[in-house]
Amino acid sequence: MLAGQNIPTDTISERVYCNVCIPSATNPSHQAREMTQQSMSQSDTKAAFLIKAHHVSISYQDTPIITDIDLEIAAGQIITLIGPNGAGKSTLLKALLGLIPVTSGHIERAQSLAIGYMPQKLSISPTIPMDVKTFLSLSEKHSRQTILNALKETSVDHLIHQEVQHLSGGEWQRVLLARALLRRPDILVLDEPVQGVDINGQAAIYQLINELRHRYHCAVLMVSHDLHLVMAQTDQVYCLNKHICCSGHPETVSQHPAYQQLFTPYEASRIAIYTHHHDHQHDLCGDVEHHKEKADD
Amino acid sequence: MISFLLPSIIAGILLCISAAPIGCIVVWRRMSYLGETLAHSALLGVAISLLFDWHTEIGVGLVALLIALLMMPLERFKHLSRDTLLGVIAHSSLAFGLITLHMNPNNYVDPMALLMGDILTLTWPDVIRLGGLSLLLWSILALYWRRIVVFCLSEELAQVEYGSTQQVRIAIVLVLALFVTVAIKLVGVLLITALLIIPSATARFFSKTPNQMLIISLVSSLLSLLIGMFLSVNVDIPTGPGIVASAAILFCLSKIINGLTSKS
Repeated sequence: MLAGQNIPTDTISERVYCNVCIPSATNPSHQAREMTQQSMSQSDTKAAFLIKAHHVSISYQDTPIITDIDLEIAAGQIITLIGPNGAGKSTLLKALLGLIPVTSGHIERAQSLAIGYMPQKLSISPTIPMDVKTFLSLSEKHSRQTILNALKETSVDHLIHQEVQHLSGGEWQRVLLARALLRRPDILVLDEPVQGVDINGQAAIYQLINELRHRYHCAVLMVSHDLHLVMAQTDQVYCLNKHICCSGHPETVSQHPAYQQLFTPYEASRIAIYTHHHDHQHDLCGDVEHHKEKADD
Repeated sequence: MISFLLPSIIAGILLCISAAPIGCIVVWRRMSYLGETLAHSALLGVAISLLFDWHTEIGVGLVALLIALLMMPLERFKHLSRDTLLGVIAHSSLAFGLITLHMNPNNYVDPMALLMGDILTLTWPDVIRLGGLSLLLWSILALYWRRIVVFCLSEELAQVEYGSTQQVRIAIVLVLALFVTVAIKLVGVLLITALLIIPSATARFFSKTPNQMLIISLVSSLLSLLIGMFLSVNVDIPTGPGIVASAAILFCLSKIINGLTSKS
């Protein structure tokens, strides 16, 4: 309830996607916003959006996974999808990428959109020998130098000859991120990039993502199962639980004295708090129960 | 001497070139039991070929293909595991094959030749047929190799990269069925899978990339072939078992060398 007090709730409930419509001048990510607008006007005059979903629903064997999703990702924006386990986040992501078909509604993607996708926890077979270098040129041939550069971007260039099965969780995430960068993406799609990483590590990864998106001038679409902490530069948070429960702009941690005690200034500048504004609740079956806003939400 | 052996040596080399990549796939995908099942079913193929007076390759190829494709929908059968289904198919096709052979009065076939293969009696027309089949096999492999590697590494990744994994799955069972067709005359029902997996297993010790494993596997299977044939001609041991025994000894030596070098 503390957070979000300077964001008019009507803006959130109407889900206005346009950057300029969020009237928070004191927002620390204001600069990022300006840059976004610039890069948008420079590079993309014909299509302001990269991916747009219209009333998208997906069912699997008559069980609805997600229903009536509307969202839009503009060039240079950072979008975070949050929601509990089984909320359909990965499904929505895959649908946005065109990997799985939608049951109803439709998805528009900008023409010749280069997508760098970092999947969630890929399971890798231990029986096949595979070093990092070969892994990065599996689906597209790249020169050794290109691969080395991409690995340098994510600070894991020393691992180029390691077998992928021997990497730690964090190293593997960074290799996957490097792989996504090799596509020269217009949009980086990251499925749970900070899963299982401690809060310091999260701040470091968010810092890296922020640097990369400036260097590559790309939008970022991120999924997180952490319902309250998101990347500070996030432009729009969508809270998903089979449908979009609420959406809006997160608050930087540093603005709240209570959180300042918890985080170092470095962490606080990378991580933001997202406050939910739900008018309903989900029971164990995932069905919607409408209620008055809960105080402890 | 060498001209008498030449067709056998060439056929053996053709077989090794196919065995290396397919062996790698079998090791990566842990599907040696599927290879075993297809090999057993080859006996039924041979029996059918004899019954209708076809070339061996036609019957074997048809049966192997049928069973390989049958396995794909059967895998969705949740109540029985994959190895149970394969066991059912492997041994029932073996039984039906032996019965069909026995009931055919026109031809007497030496079951040992079927089980162990008879690479030394190959003729030039045999070699040409095997060469044609090998070419088909290699072109499928060449076309799908990259996808197959991605698929073997991670099914999820293959799904992300290529949308559907159905084509790759079919390509893999297709080359496996073709390989059984090529190999049945040379090494026999019992030793086909051995020729696939032992050289590739040897290669796994020394390789850091899929292509390295492919090449080392090829070298080790060619080496086993030549040693096995040499022993067979000079010391009078059966050829198929000789080749597989050589491969097995190479495997053990590699394991020992690998153990020594990785400790130091």
